[in-house]
Amino acid sequence: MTAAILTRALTTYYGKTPGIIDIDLEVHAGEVFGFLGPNGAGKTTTIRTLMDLLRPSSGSATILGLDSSRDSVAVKRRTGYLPGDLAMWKQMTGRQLLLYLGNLRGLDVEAAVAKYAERLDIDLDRRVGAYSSGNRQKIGIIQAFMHHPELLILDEPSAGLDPLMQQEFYRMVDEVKAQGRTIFLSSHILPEVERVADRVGIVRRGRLVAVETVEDLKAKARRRIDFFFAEPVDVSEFYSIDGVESAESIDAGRGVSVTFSGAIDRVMKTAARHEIINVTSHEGDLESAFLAFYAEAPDAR
Amino acid sequence: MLDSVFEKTVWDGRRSIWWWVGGIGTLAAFMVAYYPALRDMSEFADLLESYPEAMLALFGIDPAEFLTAAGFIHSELYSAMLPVIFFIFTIMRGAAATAGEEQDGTMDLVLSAPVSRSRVVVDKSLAMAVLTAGLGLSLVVILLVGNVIVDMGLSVVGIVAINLGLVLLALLFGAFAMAVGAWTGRRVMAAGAAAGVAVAAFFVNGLAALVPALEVPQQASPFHWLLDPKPLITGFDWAGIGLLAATSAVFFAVAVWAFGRRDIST
Repeated sequence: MTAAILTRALTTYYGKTPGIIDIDLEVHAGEVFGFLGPNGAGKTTTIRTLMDLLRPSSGSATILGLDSSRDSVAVKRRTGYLPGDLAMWKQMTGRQLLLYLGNLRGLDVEAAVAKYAERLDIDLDRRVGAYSSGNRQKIGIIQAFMHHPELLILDEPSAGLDPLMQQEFYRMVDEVKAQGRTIFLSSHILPEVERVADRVGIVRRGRLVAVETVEDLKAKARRRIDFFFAEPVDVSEFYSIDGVESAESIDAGRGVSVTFSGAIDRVMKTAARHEIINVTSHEGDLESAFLAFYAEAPDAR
Repeated sequence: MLDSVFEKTVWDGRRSIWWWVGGIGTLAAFMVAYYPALRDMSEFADLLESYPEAMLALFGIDPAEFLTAAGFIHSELYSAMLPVIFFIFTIMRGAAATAGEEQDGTMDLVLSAPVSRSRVVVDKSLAMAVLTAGLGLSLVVILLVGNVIVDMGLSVVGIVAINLGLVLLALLFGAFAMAVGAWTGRRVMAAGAAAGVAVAAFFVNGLAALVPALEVPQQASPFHWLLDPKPLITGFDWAGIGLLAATSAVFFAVAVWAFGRRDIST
């Protein structure tokens, strides 16, 4: 099966500064691939290079078997793209804008547009300039989905959506996957990628530092759990557990703060030997969850 | 509706175009209405003679012809005012075409559709040509009507010829703005460069009659190509029309090429 996206040593410079360096990426047909990294890591540069908005300085990108630059019109016929810095024509209504973009594809998208507008709860007869940022993002999502493309390339798709709408968006992603179509989406939010993606590529300072399945990623994610006990507990009990990085005494010796990666089971069982009053779990942000981990081996692929 | 970038670009101009038509129409109608009074003013010829030669040259006023209807309309409308208004119109549109859309950030959306970059430039060029031709056509209509009402005796061929040339002159500078915008992605730079070139070309042509050193550069001024044959009086000058059209075409081609080779900025 042809890969949905295949890049070979893809490098794109912004002027003299490298945006992305030697990205080797393979996104399989039919999968949801999360492209994860902090802001400024090169996610948008990669995506805009795939969409032929930026030209690679070296290397190549193949999308659905087609060259991203030479065959870009054919590529775009078969893809839906949501820009990260979404800007739209403010004087058009949402409906005018979506139908126009459908017309540029030679497609009548009116029915699909109406269906998605209902799901995402947006009034299409208002001007784009009058929309909130959340509503503008909904228009952006609809224009990427409305023509049922084989491949969706979405740059920070859930940005600006309220939690209810994020859930609806995740359901839309699940449907696309169930239909055997492919989604490549960027995010800097770990739980979002865990929720929707099959595999994850982690990008840092312009380089792809790792590609993992979501299961492996979860195993590697570093998190912190604070236990509060009925009576003081010796923190050294936690030192010997595989994956525990640190265990600190808190709350005047009656609590332990455990930072660990990997399986949670041993940590919980060790804690359960004592009477537990309370537990708080801290989902780290992306930086503390992973990037420290990968920074130790920046060239690991 | 709105089936192409061309239609969308024309649609974008749908409101402002009426302001331009209204302004230009008012100006032209005023000049036409003013002509009979001027013609009957016997002192005016003497007054003209007393004006400095530089001023007369710059505004394309030939005292021998000025009191004929064609000479008056040629000098008052077509030697300075209308070309300037027209090139402001096209330079604004040319600068907005790709550079404006890039700086607004909406170019990503256009190019996410299966539309090639050259197609985007071609469609926007065509839209500019159609809107500018619309302005030219409105002038043709006003002059044809005024010609009858005021009985100026202008030649119909001359009216069509001067306005065709005017539209092409404007498109030339609009295409230049579009090319600079496609090259740099910067709207202000595109508009500034094109306006600078247009103003320089205007003065080179206007002052050449006084400054012998400008006679050679004058040959390269599009204003010279349009105005010196006096098409309102003599009808179509195909050499001038050909030069204007060919130069515009070259700038449009440069725009297509320049826009195809660049990174799109956000």
